[in-house]
Amino acid sequence: MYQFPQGFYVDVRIEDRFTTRVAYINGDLQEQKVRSNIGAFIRLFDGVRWYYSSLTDLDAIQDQIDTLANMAEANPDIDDHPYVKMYEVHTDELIQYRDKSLKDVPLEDKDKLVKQVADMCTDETIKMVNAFYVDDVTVKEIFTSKGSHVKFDKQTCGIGLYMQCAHGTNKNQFAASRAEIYFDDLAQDLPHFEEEIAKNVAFIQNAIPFEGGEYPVLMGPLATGVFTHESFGHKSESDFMVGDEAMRKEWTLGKEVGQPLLNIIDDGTVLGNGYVPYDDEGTKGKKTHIITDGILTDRLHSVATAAALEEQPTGNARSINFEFEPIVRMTTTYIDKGSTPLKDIIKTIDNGIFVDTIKHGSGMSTFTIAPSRAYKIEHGEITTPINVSVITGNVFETLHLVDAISEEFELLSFVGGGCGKMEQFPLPVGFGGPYTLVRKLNVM
Amino acid sequence: MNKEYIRIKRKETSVKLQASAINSIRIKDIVRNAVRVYKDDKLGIAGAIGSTSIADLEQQAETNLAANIPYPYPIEANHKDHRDYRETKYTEQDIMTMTETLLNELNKEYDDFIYSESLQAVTIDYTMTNTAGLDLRYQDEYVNLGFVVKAKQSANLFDTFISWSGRKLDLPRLTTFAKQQLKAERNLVDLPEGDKVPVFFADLSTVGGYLVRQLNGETYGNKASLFDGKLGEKLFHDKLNVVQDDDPKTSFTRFFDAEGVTKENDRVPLITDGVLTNVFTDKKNAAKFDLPHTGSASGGYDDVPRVQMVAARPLVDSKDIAKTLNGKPAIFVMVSAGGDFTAEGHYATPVQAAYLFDGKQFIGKLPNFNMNNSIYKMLGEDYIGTFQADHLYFSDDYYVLGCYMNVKSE
Repeated sequence: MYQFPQGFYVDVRIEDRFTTRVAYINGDLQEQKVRSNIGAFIRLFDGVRWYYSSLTDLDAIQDQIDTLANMAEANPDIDDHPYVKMYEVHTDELIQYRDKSLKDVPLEDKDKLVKQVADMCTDETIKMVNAFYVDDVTVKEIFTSKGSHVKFDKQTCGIGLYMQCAHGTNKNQFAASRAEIYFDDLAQDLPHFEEEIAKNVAFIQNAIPFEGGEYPVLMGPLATGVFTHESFGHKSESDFMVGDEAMRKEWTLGKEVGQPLLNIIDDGTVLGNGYVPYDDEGTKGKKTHIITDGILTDRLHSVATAAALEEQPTGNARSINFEFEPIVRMTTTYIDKGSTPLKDIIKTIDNGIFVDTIKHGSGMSTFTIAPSRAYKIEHGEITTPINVSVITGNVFETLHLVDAISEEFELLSFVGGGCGKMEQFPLPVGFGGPYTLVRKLNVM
Repeated sequence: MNKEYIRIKRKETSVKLQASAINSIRIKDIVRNAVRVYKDDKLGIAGAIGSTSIADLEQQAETNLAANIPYPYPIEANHKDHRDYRETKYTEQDIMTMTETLLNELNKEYDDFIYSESLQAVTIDYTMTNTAGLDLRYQDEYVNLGFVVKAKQSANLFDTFISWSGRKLDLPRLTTFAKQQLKAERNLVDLPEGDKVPVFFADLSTVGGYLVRQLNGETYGNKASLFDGKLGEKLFHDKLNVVQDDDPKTSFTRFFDAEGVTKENDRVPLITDGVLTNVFTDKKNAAKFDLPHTGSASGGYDDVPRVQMVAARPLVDSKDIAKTLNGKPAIFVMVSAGGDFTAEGHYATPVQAAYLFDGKQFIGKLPNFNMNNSIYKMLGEDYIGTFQADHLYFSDDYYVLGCYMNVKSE
């Protein structure tokens, strides 16, 4: 289809994206937006540097390839470059959602569903409500100068609910969200929103100030998911290790990095937010066992990082849209389920904290989780709701402090946020997991 | 029926580093168009990325009127204001050369660090016009430099940042300042003694973001703000002044809001001499809650305008940080990510990168620590001041806010 100039590796990614957004603010319709946009991202590599271009005029792709080639220096040995040798070649068309596309769901049905959620927020403690429905149907097509041509589709729909609540001096924000592949499944999630609203109302009415300090912390599936993503997931993205001997030594495969009960997985084949049939440079999505029985067994790669570290690509080169180059990102990342019933874990905690839901998290050498609903655990029982600003821990120590992992397990997909890495935010990712007990975290 | 047209042309050139070497150059040239139609107190909107037929968008916007999105407010009319803030034109080669020059200098003297991320030049041309005679245009060009710095021996993902933003980069000056910062980065020092320490913030996004959320007129009108019912009351330090800043010279944003509203001197006072004087509003919430209209609607190019966030800044109220500190050691926080506020307005955060600071320069690198305080104290009895700090070359026009914080080692 395209004339790829000699002496370069070139790939072209075209994204055709259909989106819907219907939003209600405090019960009034704020927005009903349906959009279709198309754009392309071109990468050209001369063996030394990458040259990128993002454009919306698909007729100009060939010209832009030629322009990038003029900026670069042709390399007669480009095919022998380790990156180029490692790129997978596939010819595939994986269009899965044509017959049950979110595009075909009437706008009125989408409106009606989110209105039902907005109308649930009637309690007097709920002062502001932003309820929105969003969907995204994306068809991606990738061509490479090695001969790959893959075309595939993805779709998600979801409802997000932000509430600002006030009761006396307690003022707080809460969020609830669910994402699904099919609209009919999303319609089944309404009871989830009813439960979340009731929990938030009870929380704002009863939450009390809390004295910070070090406590055992039990995290629910959502908090476990964020903890996994922030405390460890970002460290497994191997672009941080390229050209960095200290990081390579710190994260040597085979090293014990956590308790033997700990297994962490990144899986691009799980349907949902993190679904990657092919990543954004055409590598097939894979299931990667990052930690196995507490031992570091793998990490997340693009082709460039895999070649640099002499490992194998894992299908984790992702970008937020056609305006950006793919970089190493997570897909659906989770702690695998354990074998202990949740009730037995709670019984072991004499004076601790249960984090049910969270506002946000961050991950560096110190990771953070900002709870939206947290509760005391006293003498083996979850008791009083408490106001906590943030929970922190040291990444290098915390995985060794995971004392229990529940057999209860839930993978979650959301709308209204995502993962941020440098300039690229938000990227949809999946997470969740079991209930996880960490022996000691700093509660602030 | 009135029609309104928004066109945003944004060009970016980004040079990216990996492992202390230039890895890529990226060129983006993206146009976004939106059309709004106003009819019978209703609003319809359509938008698209790329070269699009305006006639098609007009048709789609008219179709969108069927959604019945209410807009019973007069639109802006008969106002022309074109402003061009471009000072320096940076070519792709300029950006590449500047990156190479700075990188070579740093690699020469400070090769015990690894540098990554980017230098980016952004050109923006934003127009908003309508059939009632509104004709606004904002043009600008600026540079964002953000190098992630990591010590080669460190197991952290990063240890600090070298950053700069503005319209005219003085590269030799930035190089000198970056080297001073890296010299301090090498010098590991202990936290200053005492539980309560003067702290200066390189980045006010968490604290400022929280404050702005409480000053949102919709939040305030719905009684969900921490400052509920306190409009007109003195809540903070006498010398504290906070404004909504829509002056492109300092905010690097357009001078009109999403409803095309401009304001006197491009600023709106929010806190004046410690008194809560205004919450910020769009047309809808000003009318709904009988609040002054401050021209603060925001949203994406093809969104229904809505009051959400604004660019707010404290005004400079103090001079000479070193003299104010009077020999007392202070902390300059480079990165404090992940913190948050409780329901009562109490802020707590880990600090991932900070320097010991004497008011003039960075003395040494501090270990990670935690800090906390309430918003009322940070901007009240524990407020030190907001200082013009051009000796810290982080931007064209750099100011820094200081207050006492409760500090605790990790």
